[in-house]
Amino acid sequence: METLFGARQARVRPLLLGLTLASCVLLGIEKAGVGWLVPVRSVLATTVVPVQYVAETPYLMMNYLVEFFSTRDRLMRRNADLERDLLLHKAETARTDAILAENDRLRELLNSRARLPDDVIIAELIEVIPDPSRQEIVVDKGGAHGVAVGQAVIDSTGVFGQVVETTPLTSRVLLVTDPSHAIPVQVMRSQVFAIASGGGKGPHLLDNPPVTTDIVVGDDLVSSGLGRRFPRDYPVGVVTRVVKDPAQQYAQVVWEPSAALARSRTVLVVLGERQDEEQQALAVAEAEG
Amino acid sequence: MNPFRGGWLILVSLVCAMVLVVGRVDAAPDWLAWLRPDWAVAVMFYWGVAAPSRVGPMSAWVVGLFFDVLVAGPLGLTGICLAFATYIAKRFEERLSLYTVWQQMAVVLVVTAIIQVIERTALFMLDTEWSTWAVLGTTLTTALVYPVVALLLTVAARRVQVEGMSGQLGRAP
Repeated sequence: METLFGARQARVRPLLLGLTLASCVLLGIEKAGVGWLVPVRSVLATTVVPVQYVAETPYLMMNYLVEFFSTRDRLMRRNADLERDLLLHKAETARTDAILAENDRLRELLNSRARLPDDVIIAELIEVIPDPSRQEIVVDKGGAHGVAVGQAVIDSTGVFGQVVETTPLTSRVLLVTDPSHAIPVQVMRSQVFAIASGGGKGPHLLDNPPVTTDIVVGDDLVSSGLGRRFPRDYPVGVVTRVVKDPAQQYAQVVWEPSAALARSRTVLVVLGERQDEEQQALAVAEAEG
Repeated sequence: MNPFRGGWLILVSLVCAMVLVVGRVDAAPDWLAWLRPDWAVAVMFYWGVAAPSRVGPMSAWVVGLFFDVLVAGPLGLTGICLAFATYIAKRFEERLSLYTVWQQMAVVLVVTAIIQVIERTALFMLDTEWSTWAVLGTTLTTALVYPVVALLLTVAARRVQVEGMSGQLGRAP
């Protein structure tokens, strides 16, 4: 018995050591950030997509069930509500279009290029990364749909985050509130530039704004487009607290994201400026009035 | 009748563990996230004790890769944790298979604590926030869910007759 036992131990222990070594090598590659493991991850992540869908089933089913069990009356009321909303938004869009056109004409005068509308794709949330110290989600659109690392993700109310990893079928999105995330912003009222960092669960701060910065509670922050990662002028958040101590060099400015991070199930991935010729011609024509 | 000599049950239990790892409740308060059990360790440790000839460090390590991509963690981290759990199961195989589920629960508590410290330390070195609450919470809840996991899997394993079951777990009641 003793020898048998010993013989098996002799096989298992080197195996554990070997596996530890293998893990350390993999973690070392990850730490170095060279991206050698990206294709491996992509393949493995594709195989777990069914699991993500199964885990998300209760939420995916909810919409279906709500629709299935709702009465004709409720559906009609909802439809009326939606139609009213659509009308309102259409009116607003028409006004915005006029302003955009005027804006483009002014940009023309300043000899700068007319801005093209952004191409977006609708994506549905399928997983929230379970680690509470990270703010990341997985959505159901990936490389096969044209999503690429670095693209901005927005919802109907503001900037959501950015794509950090894609597989053919899914992509992982880092939210603006993640401690490792920062986004260049502009204060809409005073046009001051700043960088809005995520604070995880805690307060989200602007990165070291000088104490003399013109910023007050309630100021809207929009993406500035500096760094060319995020499109310009999307709402990012609202300033909720400003602490200015004249003895300090920097003010402490707390902001809250305007996107419904914990509630949105549907987001838009901004694929970039619309590239097709027709649209481009249209934008140019519009710019020329 | 019994594909892979009952091994499909092991696979199904692992897929269930995966679903539990990413499953969520929308309205849940934040602190609940610190109490999420390490389902992978609970399930893998059970199979390591119950069917040591079917599950070993090598297979546990490979399974770990899938858990890693599922939670978007660094590749190889869950692998080494699961390999350690099954190593302990194999190392003390004779003793563990004679233990009652409560005694096994105590072992799971210690094993999960060690694994959590390893895992959180590695994550900390890879620039994730350190969290003592996650270590404590996960360790406790993993030990607490282990008897339930063990009970369900034992019943299922007897029904589908997984081959290679050891000790009293494999015997008919």
